[in-house]
Amino acid sequence: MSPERLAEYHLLSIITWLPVLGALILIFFFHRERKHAIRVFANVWAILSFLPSLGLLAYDRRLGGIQFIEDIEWIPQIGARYQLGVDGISVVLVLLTTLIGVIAVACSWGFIQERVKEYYVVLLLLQTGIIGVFVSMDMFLFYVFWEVMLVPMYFLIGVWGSENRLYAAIKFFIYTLFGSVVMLLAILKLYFIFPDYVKQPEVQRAVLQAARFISGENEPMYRMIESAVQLGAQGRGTFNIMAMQALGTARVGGAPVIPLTLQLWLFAGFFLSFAIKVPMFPFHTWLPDAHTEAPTAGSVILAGILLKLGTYGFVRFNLPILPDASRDSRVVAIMAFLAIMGIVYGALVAMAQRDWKRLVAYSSISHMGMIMLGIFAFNPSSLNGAVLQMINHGISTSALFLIVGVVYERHHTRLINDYRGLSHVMPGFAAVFMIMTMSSIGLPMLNGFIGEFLILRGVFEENRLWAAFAATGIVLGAGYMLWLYQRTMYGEVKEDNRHLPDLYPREWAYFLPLVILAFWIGIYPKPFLSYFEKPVAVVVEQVRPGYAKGFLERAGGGSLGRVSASHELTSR
Amino acid sequence: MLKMIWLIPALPFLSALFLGIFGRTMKLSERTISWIACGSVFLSLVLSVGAVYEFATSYWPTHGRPYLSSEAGGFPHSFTWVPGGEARVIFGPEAGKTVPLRIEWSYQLDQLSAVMILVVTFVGFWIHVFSIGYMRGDGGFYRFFAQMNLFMFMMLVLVMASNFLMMFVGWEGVGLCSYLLIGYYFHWNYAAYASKKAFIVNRVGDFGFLLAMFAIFSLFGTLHFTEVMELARSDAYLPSESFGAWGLASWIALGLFIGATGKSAQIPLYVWLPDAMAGPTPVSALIHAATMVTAGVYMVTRANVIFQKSPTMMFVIALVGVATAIWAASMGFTQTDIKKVLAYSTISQLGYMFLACGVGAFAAGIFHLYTHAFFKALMFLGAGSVIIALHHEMDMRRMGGLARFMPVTYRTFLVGWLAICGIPLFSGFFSKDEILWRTFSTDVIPGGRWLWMLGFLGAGMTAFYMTRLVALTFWGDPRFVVAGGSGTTHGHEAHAIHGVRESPRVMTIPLIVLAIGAAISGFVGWPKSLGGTNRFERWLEPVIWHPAQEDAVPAKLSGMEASVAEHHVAEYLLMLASVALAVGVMYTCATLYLRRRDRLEAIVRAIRPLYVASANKYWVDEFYEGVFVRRLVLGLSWFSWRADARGVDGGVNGSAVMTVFWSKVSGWFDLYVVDFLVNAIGAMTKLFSTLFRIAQTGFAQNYALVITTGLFLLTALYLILSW
Amino acid sequence: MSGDMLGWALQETTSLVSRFLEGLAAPKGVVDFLVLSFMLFAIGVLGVLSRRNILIIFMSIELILNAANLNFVAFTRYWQAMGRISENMGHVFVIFIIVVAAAEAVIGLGILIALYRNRRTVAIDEINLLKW
Repeated sequence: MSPERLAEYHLLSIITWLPVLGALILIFFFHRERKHAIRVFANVWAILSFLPSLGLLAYDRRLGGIQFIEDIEWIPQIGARYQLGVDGISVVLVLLTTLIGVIAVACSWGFIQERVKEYYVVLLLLQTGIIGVFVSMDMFLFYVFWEVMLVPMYFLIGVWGSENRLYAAIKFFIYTLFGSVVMLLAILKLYFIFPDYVKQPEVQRAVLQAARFISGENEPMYRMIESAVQLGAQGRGTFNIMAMQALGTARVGGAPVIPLTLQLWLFAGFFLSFAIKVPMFPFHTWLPDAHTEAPTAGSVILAGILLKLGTYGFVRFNLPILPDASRDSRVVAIMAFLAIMGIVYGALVAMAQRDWKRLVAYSSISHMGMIMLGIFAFNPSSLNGAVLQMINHGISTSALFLIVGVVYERHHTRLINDYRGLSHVMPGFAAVFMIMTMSSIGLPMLNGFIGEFLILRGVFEENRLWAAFAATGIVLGAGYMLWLYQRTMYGEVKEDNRHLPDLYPREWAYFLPLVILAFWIGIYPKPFLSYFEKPVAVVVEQVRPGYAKGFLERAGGGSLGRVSASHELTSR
Repeated sequence: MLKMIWLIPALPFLSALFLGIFGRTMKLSERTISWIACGSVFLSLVLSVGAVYEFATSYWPTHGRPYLSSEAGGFPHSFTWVPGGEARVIFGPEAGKTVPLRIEWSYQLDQLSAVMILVVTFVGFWIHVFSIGYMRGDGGFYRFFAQMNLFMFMMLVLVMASNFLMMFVGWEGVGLCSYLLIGYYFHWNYAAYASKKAFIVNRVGDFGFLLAMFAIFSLFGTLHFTEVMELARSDAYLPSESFGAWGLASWIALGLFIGATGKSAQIPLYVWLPDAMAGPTPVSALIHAATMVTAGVYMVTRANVIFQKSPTMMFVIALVGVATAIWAASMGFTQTDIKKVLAYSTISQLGYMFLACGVGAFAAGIFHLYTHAFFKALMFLGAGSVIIALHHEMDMRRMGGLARFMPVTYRTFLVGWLAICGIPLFSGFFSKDEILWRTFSTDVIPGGRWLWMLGFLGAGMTAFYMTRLVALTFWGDPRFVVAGGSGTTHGHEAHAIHGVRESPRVMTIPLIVLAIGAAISGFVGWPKSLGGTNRFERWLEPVIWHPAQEDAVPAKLSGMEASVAEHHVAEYLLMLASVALAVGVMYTCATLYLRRRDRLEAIVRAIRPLYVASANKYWVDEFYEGVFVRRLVLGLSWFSWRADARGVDGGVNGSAVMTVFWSKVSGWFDLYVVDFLVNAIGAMTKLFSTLFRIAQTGFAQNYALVITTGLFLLTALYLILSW
Repeated sequence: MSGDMLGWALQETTSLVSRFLEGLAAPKGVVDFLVLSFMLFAIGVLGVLSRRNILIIFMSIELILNAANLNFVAFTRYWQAMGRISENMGHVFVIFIIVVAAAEAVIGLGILIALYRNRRTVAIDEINLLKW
């Protein structure tokens, strides 16, 4: 089954809309009192939604670029089209999303007792929203989905959360919304300037050349960009993301099409939204509250997937569309500083936490800082590591939140001091917790190490000092995680912990995939990395022409064009 | 056999996996577990022997290079572990070149790794056997062996790695196993604390290792040992530095050495090792004596080309090594826990190994590693035997006179004691003297004589505290009937003398084997000065780089002969001095502790401050805890948390407060200004309506009147206008 | 003096009466009919405006309408006599008005009856629900 065939069957639409369909069925066909039936249906439906996403594994790695493209007319008056497509980076992220979705639905089984129907409806809606963000190829559609997933999350935290849930929910919603509307400005600006630029023939030529470069031998992708450029040339606007990328990458006479000042403003617009989402220091304070107050499934989805939307945004928008702004030394300095602050500061604050969930939340900030540093080092090694680390973080942090959820479900407290010596009474749990702790701190043979190693190596290549600072993160990470493990699992068993049961089969069921993945990626990461090696190389080439050219040519099915006729691509 | 070297780590791994997953659920008996665990290590041992044999006899003579499992016919060939896209070389002659980042998972067998795998599997096997007896009856039997086997896997990966990254995997992996095994008795708070401390201190070292690894890749474009060492020899890539200079080679060497300091417990990262004694004694024997802690020495020897390019770092290493040797030895004088003494002894001996590396005698360092593995493991196991026999008693003040009760343990322990003190013909003598001689005569770094002096002093200290240990434990009168069990987990009443028995065979046989090893293993390194050929050093020749000799014409006879003869005299003198010192110290110590206790007390009183300082480990732990952990890290942590909660989040909440304030202002404005206008319009309307509705009388005739009046007026108007 | 004034007054009255009597016998012009129509109209308007009883008001309205009818007929006859028109246009209008008046009277009486049933009165100043 080739991607084109699957696209004909609207695979991406199916993956995106299946959860919502499930939500609708729940709304109309299930009475709220039939809690058990609702739970069963939701779990089954979640697994059902996961299965089609496996079809994405058919992504042609050699070809690269955007595949499974679906393109339907939507709002011709403004040029917004219903365009879906994924490249290697989105493929792994969508797979992660659907998998974590299944796990999130599964882990709510015993946890949610009230308003069960609404809960699963909200969860399924959230799923659609997130998948939609990853697969949209149209900025308008992207923005719609981006906003769509805010509301279910708000409800998830606000209705089914803990004591301080309203504060956390509102904080999350407004903070993220604030960033999003600024992003909307940037999107609109791009939308408006695109036709103006593309109308000029030499710019159009350069853009098409850039499009040819980005697509390589991927014809459907090229055609998608070409039709968007056509629209632009006629003076009508288009929202196509890849066309914007081509615009950003194009070079006319060696100079970028979008002037640097404008690029910087656009960068700032996108930056605000994504930086809040990631979250980067100092826009991170919504995260601990949201995580701590959210129910387990909420935290799992929030940490596992939602945070990746921010980094995905950087890789999809900021870097390729605004390469000169991204490369600007002031921007890089700021981004690196914020990222390293995130790593070190996040780890330090994590160490001071008394609330288990808050500690894991801050560790999330630390990990995401590592990913951001990897992105802004602009080389294939670190960017590969960053994308892989997105997956890894999704796995390990979700597992850590599930772990907290397990004890919370049993003992109804999140305070670390309320637990001690759990290894005695919950040995299976202890083993899983140990594995995930080691994954989180980057022990070799587990997934975290591969990502961290690739990132740090790439960062080292850029700047030794940054790498040194970032590497302190591995020491601090070991510090707070092992201290947490020691405080909760080792020592004499606390009296009231004595009766806590070990993991139930259903809990094993949702831990096992995560554990297996953690080992698989750690021991044999090649299949995972192979999906996005090519797209990552393309992005690097877009930001830093000349670096990854050799790889692209060697990788085959690779770039046939050069970025611009007059730009000389020599190694720098 | 060579093709099967991948099995050497794989077998313990599979065993660990099986035991770990199924050990509890299948309720395997101790017997089954023992057979599986020890069996897998034994098979690894057999395979190691076979592989090394084949390597030595057929592979090396024909190929002249290390065997890599990724070669054709090897398994698993070309297993690309990490494909990382493109990378750039940033230092050296190829700066700016793009190379693919491709890390292979393949095993390498050369002379150095051959020594290591033989040591690891042999000693490891016998310690596994010993553990069958030591851990008998423990509830976590399966867990212990699973973790021990996992450790074997990790250690073998470490020593059989063909590239730095794979070595790092093993490096961190043994750290993990160390963490798990130190915290084996996890219900004991101290053990949990010690295991965490070990991991974190190791991690600090790994930080340096990692950065050095990145620098190596950024210079050579590869992480494979053979390629790196090949390229490193040329000055184009890695310029040789003179003593006192600090360049690229020094930076890389520094990073690597920091890693080694962490793993091999040198100053300043040694603090985890004494606390690591909280783990079961076989763990201490295997991990913290024979194998894991020696990984640092192995790594330094593996990368010796890089180190030799930087004499400055070599000096630092030698200095740190000998300083550690003395520092740790001084602490061994006052410790009362038998395992802690052995731990400090390990740190001290590791210092010697690094001293050897620092003066360029890498082969001597490995030689000492090899002999040390035997006698230190032997002594740890012996201590374990004692501990078990006395029901987990570890305090030497409550031991004594055990020679009578535990003859096998005693006699084997004596062998170890003699070996470590450097008595001739025992293994320790050859290795330690080789190091001391090479230190004295080194031309790689200056100050060899002074370093030798310190090393010599350290040897004397070693003899002293080891003799003290033997005296307190085995000689003299028994003291263990007086106290109750002071073991960590059990409380017992006093046990009578006749309750103490020799350990079972499963524990004594390993002791005997290791004792034999400690006795004769030195013979392979019989030095030239005493008529031997120093097979050991010659075996390791291909791995060690000799920069001076590469340029110089291989001067065979005449010139060498004379100086050789000269050197021999000096060497004899030094050897004699060491032996004399050792024997003298041993005798004095034995006398002090056994017969002249009063003198001992007097001496202790005289040097009281020093004694207290040593007994308190010079308060280093407290210093680290107070300054680094508490002040620096936790302090920063709390500060950051405060800053986050008050500052950053305060900013967010402040923005919320501001927003609410402005919304209130807007509300006021809306109510009193905007709304006022709207209401004003309403009021106006009302006013007019009051006026206009007067016309609505409801009285129809009024309306008619108005209509009529209007009609007449209009008519009149019309008539007037048309007049 | 008063004798003269008396005499003058007597004379004026006599001439007025004689002229009136003459006028009575004289052939009638259109103005006469208009005057009559106007007087009827005025009486009707007065009635509408000042009578209390709704029935009387209706009758006054009929008066007004008939005054208009008279007007129409007078003018038709006048124009016919002058030769300016030949058809009886005004008579047609009269027929219309009579029909409409009748219909209007019917409806008005119906409303009156409904009003009486609800309000128990036919005095118009007591039906002032539209008063503000």
